[in-house]
Amino acid sequence: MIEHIIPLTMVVCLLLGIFSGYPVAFVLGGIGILFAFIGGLPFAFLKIGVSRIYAGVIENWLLLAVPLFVFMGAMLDKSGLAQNLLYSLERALGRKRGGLAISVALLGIVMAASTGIVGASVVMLSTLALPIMLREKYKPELAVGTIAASGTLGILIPPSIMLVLVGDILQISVGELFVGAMVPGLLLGGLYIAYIVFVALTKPNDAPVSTHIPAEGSLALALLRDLFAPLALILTVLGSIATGTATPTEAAGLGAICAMILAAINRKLTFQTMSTCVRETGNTTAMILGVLVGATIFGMVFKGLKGDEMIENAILFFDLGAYGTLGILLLLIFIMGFFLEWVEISFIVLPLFAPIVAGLDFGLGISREQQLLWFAMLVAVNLQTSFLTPPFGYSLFYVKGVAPPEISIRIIYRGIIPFVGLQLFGLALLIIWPNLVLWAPNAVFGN
Amino acid sequence: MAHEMDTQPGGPERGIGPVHTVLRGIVWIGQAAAWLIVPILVLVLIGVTLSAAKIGTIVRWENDVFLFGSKLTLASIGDLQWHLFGIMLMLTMAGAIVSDRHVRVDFLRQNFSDRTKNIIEIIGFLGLLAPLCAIVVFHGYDFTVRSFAMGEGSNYDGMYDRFVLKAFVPIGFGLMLIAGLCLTIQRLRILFGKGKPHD
Amino acid sequence: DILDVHMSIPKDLTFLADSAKLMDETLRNMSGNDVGLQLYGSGELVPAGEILENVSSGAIPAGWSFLGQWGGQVPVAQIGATPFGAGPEALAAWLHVGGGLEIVQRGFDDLNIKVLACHITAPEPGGWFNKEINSIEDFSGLKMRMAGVGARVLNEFGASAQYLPASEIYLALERGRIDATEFSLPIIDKDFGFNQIATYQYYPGWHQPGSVDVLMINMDVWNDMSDGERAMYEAACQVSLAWTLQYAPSAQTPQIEEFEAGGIEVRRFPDEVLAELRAATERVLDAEAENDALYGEAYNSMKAFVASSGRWTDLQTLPAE
Ligand code: NA
Ligand code: NA
Repeated sequence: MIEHIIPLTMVVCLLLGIFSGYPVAFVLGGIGILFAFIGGLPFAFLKIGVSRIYAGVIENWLLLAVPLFVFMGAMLDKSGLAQNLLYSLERALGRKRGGLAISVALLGIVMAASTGIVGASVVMLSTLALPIMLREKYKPELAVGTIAASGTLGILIPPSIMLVLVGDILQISVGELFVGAMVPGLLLGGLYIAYIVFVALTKPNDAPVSTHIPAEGSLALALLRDLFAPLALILTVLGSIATGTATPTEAAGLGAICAMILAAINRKLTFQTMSTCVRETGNTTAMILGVLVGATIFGMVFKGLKGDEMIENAILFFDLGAYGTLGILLLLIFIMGFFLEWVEISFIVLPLFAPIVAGLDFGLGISREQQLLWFAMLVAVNLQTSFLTPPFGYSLFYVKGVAPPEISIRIIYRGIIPFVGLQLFGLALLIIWPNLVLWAPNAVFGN
Repeated sequence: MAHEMDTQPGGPERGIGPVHTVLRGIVWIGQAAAWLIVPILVLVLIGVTLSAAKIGTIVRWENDVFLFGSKLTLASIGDLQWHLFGIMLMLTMAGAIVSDRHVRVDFLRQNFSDRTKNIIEIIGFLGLLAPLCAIVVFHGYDFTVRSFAMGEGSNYDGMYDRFVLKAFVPIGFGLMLIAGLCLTIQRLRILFGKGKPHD
Repeated sequence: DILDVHMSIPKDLTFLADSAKLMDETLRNMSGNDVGLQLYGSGELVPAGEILENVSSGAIPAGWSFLGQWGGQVPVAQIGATPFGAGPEALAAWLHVGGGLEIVQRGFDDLNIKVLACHITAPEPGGWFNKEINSIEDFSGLKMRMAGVGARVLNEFGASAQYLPASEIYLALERGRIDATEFSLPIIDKDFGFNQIATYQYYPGWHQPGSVDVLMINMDVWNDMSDGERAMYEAACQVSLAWTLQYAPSAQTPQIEEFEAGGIEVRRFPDEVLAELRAATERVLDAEAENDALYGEAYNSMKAFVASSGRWTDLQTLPAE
């Protein structure tokens, strides 16, 4: 226990720093640096930090999708296309109570299928949908909860960088993971929508019918007109990935270009619009990736001070049968999600957990590989949840970063709690019925 | 966007003097760097087009040219995209500090007095931001020099002279250090009554 | 002492990481647990591409990686995988008997790094393809993931060879963003699932008939070791090297048969294609040898060494059955 005092103090200081209201990025990075000195790590050790910033953030080609999607979101927003898109979707749903929130959730699923970058889709959805939902008198909590949760689905629904990394670490085929993630991803999306419907039925004032929808004209014609832009966009992004014309990163760029063309058709592509979108892109990218820069420094020092051994010892301390052990592992990942970034969690704990899980007997009569696949999916859903858990959920920070000032972090925390509940409910379903994960890969790859 | 005019108390839009000039300069650098998104978009379009047209090597020439070597390939176009992205990120982080766009968990902060907020910002700078930036600048300089000395570059016909990109790590964190320092000077002035809080 | 070694590959990767584990085991057995390696997988602490930089600066004491990975920083490192170059046994012999490692070491002296060559990978497959290769023209416009000298050779034929990190290959190949990829030995490729999304697997691996992985130790750390400790490292390194030579060949065939049973068409590049690739390789490598004197020295030394045993090999060749 005594040897874990420093990593433990580090976590406590991190929480204190975060609650002081100082920017999260610098609390993470600064606490990392301070504890490198307190913990007596050699001065040269910190050189690794520069390498990690360079290789993990700048050289990480996948993160290029962040500014590209942010720019696309800003362009859609400034050109009025976003509004038309959401209203059209809502009209298509028959202008029911809660229709706008359901549209946002659906848009989140579509975005999820086109990218795996949580920051980008959360920011884009917030930019697009939050002002509209607030104007339509949605309860702010429901609005931000829907946006944060739907935007985070992207990390689970393929293509997903997280699944690629998890597959790499656990040595499971990425293809099976991708196929295996479909049902859980759609299940969670379905749970969100069911919850919104439930709120709309029980608390009508929280999820009203939109009043700003232009009601005149034939629905079919309006739909055709308003859906043209979003369809063009979705076709560009998803189509270019599906046909292999572009990588997911490049698809984000094509989406941004497409948004500019649509804005031009809408006669909204002025220098003023460009300038606003560009500035927005710069600031938001700095905000999202700043947190990542801080987190990479924190994670490095935490590991250097044997924080990973602290976690390992915590597991060995308990000895609770197959499901008990699984529960502890998932609980640990869940708790780590409060203060570490998912990349760090994956690298630190998955190699430790994999042999433990492979050795457990759940009495399911499935192969070792299938058991690992199932576990990987439980971890993935768990990690996805960690984006949403207060106080330290990255998605919550991203929403906060672009939301109007009246949306306090307290509102965001309150708003996300029901969705975290849904996540945990979904996770429980996957634990009870492993076939929710295994059915699709078995059908596709015929194991 | 709601935050456009949101700056730190006593931010660059308000006031005069050398500190304000520096802060304005940092914001300007960030806003200028953000325009790099435009060439990135163009490069994405070029990359996708060339890839669809099955063109790998775009043009080759006789002598080695700074950054580009002796040919322009699809790999160079891909490399150039994330080079510009890295430069953009490193140069916009300091501006985002001045414009107060970095994420804060503010649910306790909302109830703090201006004085408490100023004290937290000053401690935060001295205890967290300044050490972080100082270390990255110090080691980042070394990191850049070593890359220059090795002549580091692509070994797959991509971009060369990697030290140019790497140099933006210490430059970016240096700008953040300067931004933090200037804001801290402003806050100290306010704390000790030599400046005006807000307007 | 226990040496912290940061690897450019996942810690539990089949074969590639096993030699490092074996070296650790050997050291511990030899020293009664006083000397050994503490292995860290890629990304755990140091990003894979930054290992050289951090060993050189002394931020970490040691690293383990593919030698050819550092071709962009230390040109002589490209000798770690030479297209149409020495096969596994010849490569091992050139490094340890033919003076090869000393030449390579000179390239790392300035970086304050000691290089031990402890792992040789058998020839890798020529790659996973979703397009047929019947003539050299089929490389024109082919989008292939390949790093190092092989990439530059393919570009000579109008291909678009590009480097993608391991984690991106699957998606790029599945979606058709690339038409082909080389990665590693069949037993390793299997873990990445390339067999699920490719149509053909082509042989031979002309781009690297043999390749070296190295243990890089910061020179100050190396110099601080006792003579006895350094001797143990040299010996344990040879044990791992021998194991890699012995293990790899027999493990591949069952895996290849498993791929075939799963519907993969296993083929060889036509001989004319290989002849064209060989000619282009010589052009590219000769140019490289002119560019960098040390690489030139290594390249010529390797060629001479391989040629020197030619008479012997010819005389000893038994007729095929
Ligand atoms: Na996704
Ligand atoms: Na969290």
